[in-house]
Amino acid sequence: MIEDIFKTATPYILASIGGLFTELCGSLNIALEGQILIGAFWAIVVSNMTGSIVLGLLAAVAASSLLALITALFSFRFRANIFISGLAANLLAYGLVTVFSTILVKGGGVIRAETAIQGSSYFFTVFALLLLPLSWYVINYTPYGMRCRVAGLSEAVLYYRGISPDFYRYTALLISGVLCGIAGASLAARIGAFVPNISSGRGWIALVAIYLGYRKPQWVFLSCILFASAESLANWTQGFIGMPATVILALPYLITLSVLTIVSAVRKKTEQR
Amino acid sequence: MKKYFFYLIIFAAVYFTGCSAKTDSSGQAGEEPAGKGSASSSEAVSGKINIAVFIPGVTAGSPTYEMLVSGVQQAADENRETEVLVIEAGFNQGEWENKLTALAGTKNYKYIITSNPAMPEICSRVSKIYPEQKFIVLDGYLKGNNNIYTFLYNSYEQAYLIGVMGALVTGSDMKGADRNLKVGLIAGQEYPMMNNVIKPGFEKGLKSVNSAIEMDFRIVGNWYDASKGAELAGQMYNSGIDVILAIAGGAGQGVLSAAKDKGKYVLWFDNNGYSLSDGQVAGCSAIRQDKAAYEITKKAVSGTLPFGSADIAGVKEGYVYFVDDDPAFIKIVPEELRAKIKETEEMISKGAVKLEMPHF
Repeated sequence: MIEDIFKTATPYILASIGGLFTELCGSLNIALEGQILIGAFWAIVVSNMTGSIVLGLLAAVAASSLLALITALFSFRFRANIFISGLAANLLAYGLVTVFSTILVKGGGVIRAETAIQGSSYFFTVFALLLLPLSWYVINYTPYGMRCRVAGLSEAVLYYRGISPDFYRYTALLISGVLCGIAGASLAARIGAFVPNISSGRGWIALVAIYLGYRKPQWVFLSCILFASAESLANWTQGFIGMPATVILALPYLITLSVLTIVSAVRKKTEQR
Repeated sequence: MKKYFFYLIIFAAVYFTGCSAKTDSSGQAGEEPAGKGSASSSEAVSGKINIAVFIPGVTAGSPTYEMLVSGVQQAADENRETEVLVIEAGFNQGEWENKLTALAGTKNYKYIITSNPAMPEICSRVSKIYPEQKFIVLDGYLKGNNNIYTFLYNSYEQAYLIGVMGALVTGSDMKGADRNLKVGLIAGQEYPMMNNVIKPGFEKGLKSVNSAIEMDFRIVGNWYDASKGAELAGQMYNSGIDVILAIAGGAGQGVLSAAKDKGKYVLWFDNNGYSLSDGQVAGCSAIRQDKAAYEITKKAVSGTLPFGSADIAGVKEGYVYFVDDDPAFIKIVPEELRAKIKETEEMISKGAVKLEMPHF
């Protein structure tokens, strides 16, 4: 059960910690969903082509980072609104996956892994767990993390000190690209295949987790665990509760929403005091 | 600004994950007509019979649609006077009606052939706008509209057959089977055909072998979330279920991977799925959509298809069958069980087992 929860939480944790960096530096990347999708696709395709799981993972990271960099380029260089370019990147990811799957894989649709990638899914969960202390340390105790946060709070401070906030924004988007690529690979590894729409909204849930966790890595991490547990619970209860399954399926979202409401209400109260 | 955006994310999270696919097909304004539909407007004059295959979804990766296209194509290849155009309407169910309307609006196609339980209703709505257009719907049921012919597979027999196989597997001493008499069914979503025909048929098949067998029915919530399929299946396998029937589209891939993980079994529906795994698929009850599409297209071209009627075909007619000649099946399932499933199939075919298709 616990193992299941952590396995489910893995892509959420990876994507939301990646997204957290972009949120901290003031340019939230909403293309997480598309980045996960494209990561999962390339992980399977390249590992099938080369027979190497490591190369597949690298390709996933590269493709997802490239998408993040395109978003960054449009947002910071050409000054497009980052939400718009993020949405565009999501749509682009869907299109690219369809195009490449018709070109590279005969027939398209579900692409089954020909390597033993399914066995590597533990690696991703361990990596996600390690990411908690790592991101907590980087964000709170390194100059990079602090400047990242300052870039989000007040650009001017960085300018006066002769530091370019754009550097932090680019790198933050790159981090989100790398982590989402790994998240995508983890999804594909768990199933041992690429399935169209494999990300199934996990990138959006990861965005919610960033806010639910008040932009603190430890709470973001916990939110992901909370959501994964709710999902696991919903799967489990379907077996014996005589409630319509469609209602049970909405449970994770209801739980997340109510916790969000309660937490923000409690917080408001404590702030007033 | 930030606050609004926050709500936007919540909305997106719920919209893109929770409430997927089951969109109402009516009332959504279409932005684009069916792209390729108008491309061949000049061909209509040449006296050829133009046939359009309307795929409500995407052909690649969907065996039933692949069979539909190949069947129609095969029939068209035998007759020089026929031209076939395949149009894919994509996964967004809300766009199907608009795209079908646009296709019918070109008035280039004598017949529009499609396949999906949701299509008869959509076709009858489009038929009101273009009363001269003829529709052929496989895997759907509608009687009494003189422009629409439907052909439905007897899913009750199909589900019964695979139910018998599930019961045989769970009660056997096959490598992955345990002592619990529990069998699972994972569906993509709940829909009338699933709730009123497939599920009861499957259960009836199970109980016909051993009335003590329990069925555990769960749904993924959509047809593509393979990770969720894997989680669901993993939990079911952990709870003492040793064989699961997967009718969940792409999410079925997750069921296969969970079965591989735990060393248990999967049953497959509609097409031959033995090649999808390494010894986890312990039975497939399939439909001969390619055969149906071929024969019906031939009849339509020769003008003998009885529009307005609705046919239902099952094991006896040869459109529903159990795939028992695949080497993978022969390898993992002991001969005794194979003989029993063969016997069941023959009994249904002879009418010795009465399986009346329930109302749906």
